[in-house]
Amino acid sequence: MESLNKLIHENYDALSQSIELPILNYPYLFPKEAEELKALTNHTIDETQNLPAYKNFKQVNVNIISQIRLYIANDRVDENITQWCRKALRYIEVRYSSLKENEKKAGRKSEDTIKIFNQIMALFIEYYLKTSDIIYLNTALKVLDLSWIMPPSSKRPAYIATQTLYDLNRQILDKILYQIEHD
Amino acid sequence: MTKSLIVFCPNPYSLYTNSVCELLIRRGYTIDAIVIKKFTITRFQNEFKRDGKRLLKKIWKKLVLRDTAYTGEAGSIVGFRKEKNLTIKNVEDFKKHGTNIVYCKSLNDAVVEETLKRYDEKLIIFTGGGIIRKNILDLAGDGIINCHMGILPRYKGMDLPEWCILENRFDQFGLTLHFMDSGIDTGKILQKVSIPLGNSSSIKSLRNRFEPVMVDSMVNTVENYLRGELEPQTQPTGENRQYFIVHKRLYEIVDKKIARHLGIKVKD
Repeated sequence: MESLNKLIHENYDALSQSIELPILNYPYLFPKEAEELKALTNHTIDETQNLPAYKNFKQVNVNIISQIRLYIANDRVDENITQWCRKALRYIEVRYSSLKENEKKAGRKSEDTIKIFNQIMALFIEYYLKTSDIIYLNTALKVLDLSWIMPPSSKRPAYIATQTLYDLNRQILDKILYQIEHD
Repeated sequence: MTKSLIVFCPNPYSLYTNSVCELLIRRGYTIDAIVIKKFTITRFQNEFKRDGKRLLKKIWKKLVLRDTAYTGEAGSIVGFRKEKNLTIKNVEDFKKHGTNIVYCKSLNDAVVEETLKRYDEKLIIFTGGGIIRKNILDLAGDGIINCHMGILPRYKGMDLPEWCILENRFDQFGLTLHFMDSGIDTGKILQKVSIPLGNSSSIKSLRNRFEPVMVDSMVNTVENYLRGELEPQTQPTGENRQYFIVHKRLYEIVDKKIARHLGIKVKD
C-alpha cells in the first residue's frame, strides 16, 4: 500500500491525464486514498462516440475498455456492455494458454498488450463489484496470473498509469478474496 | 428393432465406464462396442493446456491409484461397486460378453466413424473422452447421452459443484442427463437429478458422492429412454452462460464456505 501511495503522489500529474485508471469502488476499498483516487478518475463518458458491438478481440483497445468501465461506473450497464464483458471473458478463458501468442499474431505492440490486459483485469473486477457475478472475479484472477501483463518497472510516463492500475488491481483482488473468505 | 449400444470411454480402467457397462449387461442389455480413447502425448498436451497441473492429479487418481484412491471415503464409487458386487475393472473384460473393443487417438477419428457406420439403429453412451465433433454427432443415431455434473440449463461448463458453492447456491448440486450437440452442454435434456450437500464437509467428498449417482443415473436414463419413457426436452435459448475452471485462490475458499454452511468452525 505504501508503494502505491508513493506511486500516486510522485506521478499525480501524469496520472490525472490518463484514461487508464480505475474508476469504480476503489475509493470505497481504499478509504485513505479515496479523495486522490476520486480526483484522478474523474473522467466522463464520451457521448459523441457510440460504443461499437463486440466483433472480435482484435478490435479491443484501451479507449474502448476505458469507455466500457465508465459506463459501468455510471450504472449504465446495457445489453451491449454485458455482451462486451461476456465475450471478452469467454475469449480469455477459451484461449487462455495461447493469449500471448495470439497477441503477437494480431501484431499488437507489447506495450499495448500490457495496457489492454491490465484494463481488462480492471474491467472484470469492476463488473464483478457492480453485479456480484463471481465468474468475472475468477477470470480477473487468471489475468493477474499472466506474468507478461506486469508493467516493466520503468519510469517511462507511458507505464505510470498501467503500473498504478496493476498494483491497485492486485490489492483489490486480495481484499475482495479476504472479504469472500470471511463473509 | 433393438438399438445397438456403443460406449465412449476415456480409459480402459475408468470405474465409471466399467460400472455403467456391467450394470447394463446385468439388466439384459448388450454393449455392442466400447470405443476407448488412447492415452497419447498429444492427448496429454491438449488436456494439459486445458486443465494445467490438475491433469497430473487426475492421471494419478484415475490411472495410477484407480480404486485405491477412494479408500475410506463413504459414499464413493468404490463403496457403490462393492455394494452392487461390480467386479469388472478393465473394459477389455467385456469382450467375453461379445463387446467389440475399439481404440482411437481421438473420439472424432475415422476409426470411430467406421465403427459407428457398422450399426444402423444406435444409442451412444458417453463416459468421457473429450469434445465430440460434427462428423461423429452426424453418425450418432439417436444421439450421444452425457451425464453432466451440473443442473442445466443454468450450470454449463466446468467445476460446477464448486461454482454452486461460490454462488452460495447450496441447493443446486446435481446432474443432468442430456444428448450432446455441437454446443457446450446445450443438447436436449433427458433427466435431472438433484444431489443434496448432505454431510459432505469438503468438495472432495461431495464430488466423490457424485460418481455413484452418475453411474446409477446413466444406467436408469439409458433404460428409460430405450423403453420410450423419456422425451428429450430442448433447452431454452436464452441461457448461454458458461462456467470455466475455478482459479486456485477461489478454489481454496470452497471448503471453507462448505464448512460455514454446515456450521463447522473454520480455522483461518
